[in-house]
Amino acid sequence: MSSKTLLLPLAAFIGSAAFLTWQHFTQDPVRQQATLFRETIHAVTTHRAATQAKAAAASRSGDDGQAKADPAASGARPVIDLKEMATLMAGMQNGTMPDMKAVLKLQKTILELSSDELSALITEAGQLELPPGQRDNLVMMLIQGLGESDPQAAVMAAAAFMKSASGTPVHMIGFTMRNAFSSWAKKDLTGALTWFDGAVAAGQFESTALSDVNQEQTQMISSVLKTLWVKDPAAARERILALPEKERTVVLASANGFEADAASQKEFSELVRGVLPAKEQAGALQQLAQRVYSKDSLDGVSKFFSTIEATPEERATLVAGVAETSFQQRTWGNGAEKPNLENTTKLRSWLAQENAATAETTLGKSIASTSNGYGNYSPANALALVTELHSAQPSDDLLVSFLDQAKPESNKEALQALAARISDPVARDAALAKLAEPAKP
Amino acid sequence: MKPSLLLTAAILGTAALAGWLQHRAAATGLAERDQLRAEVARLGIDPDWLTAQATPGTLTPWKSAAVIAKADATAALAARQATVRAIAREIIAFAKEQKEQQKSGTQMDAAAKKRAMAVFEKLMDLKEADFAILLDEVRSDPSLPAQTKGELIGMSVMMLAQQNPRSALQLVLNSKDLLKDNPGMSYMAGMAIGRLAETDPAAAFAWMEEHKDSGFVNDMARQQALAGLAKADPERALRNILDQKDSPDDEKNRFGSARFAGSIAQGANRDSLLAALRKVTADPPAPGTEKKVESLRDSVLAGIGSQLVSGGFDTAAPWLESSTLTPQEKSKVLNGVTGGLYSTDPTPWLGWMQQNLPADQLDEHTNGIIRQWTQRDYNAVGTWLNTQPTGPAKDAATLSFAETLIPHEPEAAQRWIDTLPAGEKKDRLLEQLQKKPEPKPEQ
Repeated sequence: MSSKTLLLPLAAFIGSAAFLTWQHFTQDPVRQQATLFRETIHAVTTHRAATQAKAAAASRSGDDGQAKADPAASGARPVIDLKEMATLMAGMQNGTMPDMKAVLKLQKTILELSSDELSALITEAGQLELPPGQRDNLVMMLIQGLGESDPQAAVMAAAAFMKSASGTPVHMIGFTMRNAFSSWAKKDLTGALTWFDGAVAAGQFESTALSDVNQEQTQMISSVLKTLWVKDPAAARERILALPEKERTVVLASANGFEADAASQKEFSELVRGVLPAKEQAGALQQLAQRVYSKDSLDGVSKFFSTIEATPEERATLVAGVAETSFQQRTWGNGAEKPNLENTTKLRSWLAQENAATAETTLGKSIASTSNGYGNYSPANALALVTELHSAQPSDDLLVSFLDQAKPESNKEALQALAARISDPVARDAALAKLAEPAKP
Repeated sequence: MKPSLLLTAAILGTAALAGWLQHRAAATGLAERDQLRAEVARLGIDPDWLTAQATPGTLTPWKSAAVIAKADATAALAARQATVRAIAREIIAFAKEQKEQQKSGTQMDAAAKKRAMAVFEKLMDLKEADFAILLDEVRSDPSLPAQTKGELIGMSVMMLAQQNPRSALQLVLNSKDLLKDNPGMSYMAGMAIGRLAETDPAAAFAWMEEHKDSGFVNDMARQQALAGLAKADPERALRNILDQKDSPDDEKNRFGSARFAGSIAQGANRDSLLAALRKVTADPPAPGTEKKVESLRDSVLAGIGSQLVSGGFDTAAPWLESSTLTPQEKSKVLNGVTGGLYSTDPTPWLGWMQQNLPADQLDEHTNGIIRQWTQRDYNAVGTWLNTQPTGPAKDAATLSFAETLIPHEPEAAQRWIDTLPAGEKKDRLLEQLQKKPEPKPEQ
């Protein structure tokens, strides 16, 4: 072939070669990336396999070592430093944020101790050279812990401490003791009461306070009354009747558990009416009514009145107490709305339904007394609410009862403006005159 | 001509075949690259980041270490998130269990309490970044009642506040819908604010100002903030209290804050608070603020007094003796001591007061202590009085004792009144005894 005839094939060859070369090199980045990714995958998976193997080997040898090094794992009890515990608890008392981990560790430690170990610690703690408050709080916490597993031992420990403690132990020791006593009674009522009667005879609960009521003793009886009532109502009645009259009221007012259902509520009311004079009965029923409210709200209280066939006098007293509790609890939050016109109007309606004659007076008093307390419901809030309530439904009784209780040093001018809205001129003048008096020291 | 065309065709045909084969290989290579890319991403490495690290060429040992570290970090994060989700679900399950138990009215037994503590421990071990996951799990559980959600978040706020109060406060704001009816929320928010105030008072107060209408900044929260601030900058805390606008509602809470600050000040903090109080109250008060300044001074000093009692007499007495308290300041501190002695053996304090207070101030402080002690344990008071030396101090104590006894134990009161020297005070008590009022209702 001549050179002329080779030109075309040569051009085709060159062109093809150029195209194939270009095609090849455009794939270079892809191949490089693939290689990079392949190497990375290899490096990471190899590293992970090696790490896992190391961890597995370490875990196998670590388990053996752990059993030797860790007292908890080996079954040995943790060392308890009572003074450190007391210091931690003192820190919790001062109102600032506690060390939650330390608190939890403390509680866990207590739960893990045996009854004998805790009893021994309580004895030791009672003898520590600590400020009395710190000592008592420490002992209380240990007794509480002991009460979880062995309430009888907790009662014994508390009684022993209260006998031997220098100075008057904090009243919370008594509270802790009552809780343990209540738990003990649920397990062994006869044993608990036998011990109690013996302790009373031996002077354990002799009161040194200037009071007609032996608080410690009465509260102990209250704590087991429901348990006793369920097992032996006659014995429960006899025990209460054996008490001085004033103490019977205290025992019955403090007894809880009777709010659980209508049958218990009815039985309680019959017990109260059977052992207390008429003038004391409403007071004893008052606490039950408030517990019913906390459990079942205002509707529950209405049913309660029917269940116990409340007399008009009882109803008047009980309604006032429940109204105050209801209003106060709203100011605490407690999952309910803060007091406002809407929810207070519901309370107002309930009061009118249950005791129309005193509904407005009761409402005004409840609002005023709540704002005068140490909670966070301010007199200004109370004043605003009463103003709204009066605007919605004018009521002299509401205003008079509120102004009667409201403290004039908080916003006297606004209170005077409110007093000016009383429609009855005599009541209005009396309210204004009272507000004009100089503040009492 | 023909041979050249044939040759050209052959070349082109061969090139086309080669090109097609190369194209197929490229497509396979692309697919393989994409697979490898996905695998790299699954290992926790961003492929784009990787190609940026390692181009041009392949993985060098140095870059390999960086890549492995990144993969490990991603894997650790994923593992941590999975763990936290599992913990969150465990906490939620426990909370549901507790609600059911509460409804049924049964008490928690020891086993349940141990489980509760195990759950709390896991909650406490959560790190700041974990709480977002917990919150997500809590919010997204449709079977959890709103109140329970609020309670769980409230607990989280408390845990988180210990690590990072700012984050805790942010959690509060982010969860406002669930927390608004939680009764303890203001308290927890207050603790977080107080914690923040200890290290960054300006931020704490700025947060309170910015969120004052949130529903979480109430008097309790302000009290906590001031207490935290008082630790870090007592002068600023006290000036803050004084500078707040007057309002009858604010007053009782404002000085509650001052008392609270005093009651938690211990050791060096107490001395700093005292120095700050003197500085703040040193200047003549502006007209109309005299009462406010006096209230501030009284509140802080009373708070210090109550703290001295809870810290124990043995540590309090040396401080009282070595401190530079003026007689007026000491008197106010002792007012707080009196209030703090309601359940504590007062005998060491009475002894100290008798030795360290001038006669004209003694009665003012000891009378109240004797009265409340008598209410609590009249036998012990009688025993103590019998050990006291004859003199005006004993007479003053006997007067308070007998007066308190009259409504409850008139015969004992008579016996003690008989030991008093003749005088107006004795006559007054005898008159009271004649009338014998009804005892006051128990507190």
